[in-house]
Amino acid sequence: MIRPRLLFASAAVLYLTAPLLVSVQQRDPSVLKRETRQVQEQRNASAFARMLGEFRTSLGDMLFVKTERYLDSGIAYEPHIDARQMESSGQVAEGGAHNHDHAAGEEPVKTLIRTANADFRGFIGKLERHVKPWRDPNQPHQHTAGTELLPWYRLATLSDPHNVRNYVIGAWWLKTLNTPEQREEALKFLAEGIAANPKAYELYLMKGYVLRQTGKQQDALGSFAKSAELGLAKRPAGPFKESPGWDTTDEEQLLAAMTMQINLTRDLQSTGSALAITEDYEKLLPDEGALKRLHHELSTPAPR
Amino acid sequence: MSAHPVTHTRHTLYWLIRGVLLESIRRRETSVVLLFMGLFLVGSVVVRIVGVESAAAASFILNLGLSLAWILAMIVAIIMAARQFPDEQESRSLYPLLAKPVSRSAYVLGKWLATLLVGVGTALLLDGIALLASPWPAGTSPLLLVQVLILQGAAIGAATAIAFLLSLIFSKALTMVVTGLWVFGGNALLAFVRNRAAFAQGDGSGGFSWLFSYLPDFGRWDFINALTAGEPSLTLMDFASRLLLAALFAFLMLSSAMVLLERKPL
Repeated sequence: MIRPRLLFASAAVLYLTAPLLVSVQQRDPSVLKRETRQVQEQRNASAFARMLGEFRTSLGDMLFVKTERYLDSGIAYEPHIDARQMESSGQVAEGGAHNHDHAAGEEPVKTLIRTANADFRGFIGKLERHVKPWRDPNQPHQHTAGTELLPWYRLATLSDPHNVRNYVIGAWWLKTLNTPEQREEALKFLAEGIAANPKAYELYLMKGYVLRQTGKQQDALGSFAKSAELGLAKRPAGPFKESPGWDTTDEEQLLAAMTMQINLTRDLQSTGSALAITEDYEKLLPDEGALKRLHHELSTPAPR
Repeated sequence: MSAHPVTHTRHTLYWLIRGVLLESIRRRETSVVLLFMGLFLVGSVVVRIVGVESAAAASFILNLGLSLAWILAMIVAIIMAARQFPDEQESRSLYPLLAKPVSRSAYVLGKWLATLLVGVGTALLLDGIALLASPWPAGTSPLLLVQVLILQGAAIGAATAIAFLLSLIFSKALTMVVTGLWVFGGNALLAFVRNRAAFAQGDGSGGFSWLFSYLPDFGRWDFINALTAGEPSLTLMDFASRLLLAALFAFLMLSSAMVLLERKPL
């Protein structure tokens, strides 16, 4: 004989305790607090997402794609999103709209609307190329000023506060506006990102850059040091090797944090302190050429 | 002499399940699902004859096949679960059934088991077609594939339980839409709400996060992308806790449906 009420009471008690079990197990901060680029790529790697072109499985990622569209003057290029490319695109966009060529030999990024040669649709394709924003992919991209992107980064971080790259790039754009108010905004934006992602070393690196621009050199030094500390804690030990949690971008950003910390220590404290920090880092990354060069520079007396 | 109550309940469950299985074969949805999967089969066989050149293409085809199988099986299961009670009430076949010595709880259990079987059977059939038609990318974990299939079954169980409970309250069309949105779109919506709640508190371990963790996120049971990305299998603890969560949620929904149907004037 089935007793529904008894079953319901048992089910409710059991279910109320079950998420405790699952949550406790999934409480690894590196999983919950910060999404890695690999996690984002895997999430958007489904066959359906690829077939639908700009479809993404999270609102934060969809908004990120939207920022690319804005950056490219409304022209839809095939998805080529990653933080490095956005940062490199952003650098040349400083100061307003501009054109730029991609590096020599680099394959041009295709547009979602095909070129006349590759379009089987005939006049329909021609019509679409005329009525929608389109540009021959072999032509230089036309980038707009990054200020138009800022509301999208704000929205993207509201939808997903663990998507670190949106904080980093949004703060970078604010920084490029080069006014005291916008630099303060950038710091507030980064503080929000750090509150949601306390172990994201990239945020401390960007905070260091912004603080340095505002003239707060001592605070910037602390931020670079914190970034290097968090990055080293996350980096797999031993020589650099691409892994699911650590890629070339991570390695380069960590080195940037170390380099900035060493240079600022030399400027604010002493060459001896900077050399000591360099030696400490060299012990952890003995094969790193950038650290060896810094060591050489610091230990070589400046010419009179 | 009357039959033993347990034997009688088993007998009732058997006939309820048999009826739903026969109905599922007769439904047009089954043909549509098979048609879609047939198209995938033809396409992937053509691709294999032409030659799959890269590992990425192999992963893409496998991902497409398994995702298609998962989505179609889930749709079939939701449709079947959502229409059981409303259709029987509308056609009035429910009344002679309940006039027999069949408890309402046994009716709920029988219908759910039947729709679960239909869903799992469809998923296995379609997954089988997808696996036969798709190339097997190097580095893909066979153990994770087994886990993916089992978790699909668990998710179908949870989804059909939601659909059956909702069908006691709403029309079948609304039930299908709500359950479908929950299963296929709830992941993104829950992630958004959970993230905002966690951030508003400045700490992900706050009360809101706990509250939202009680709403099932079907993304927790979908590891197709991880499989085709060459990820390793889940740990035993992780796998077991996900299964347990699905089972307990289905249990909660079913027992709620039983209480609701007991009280529902027919």
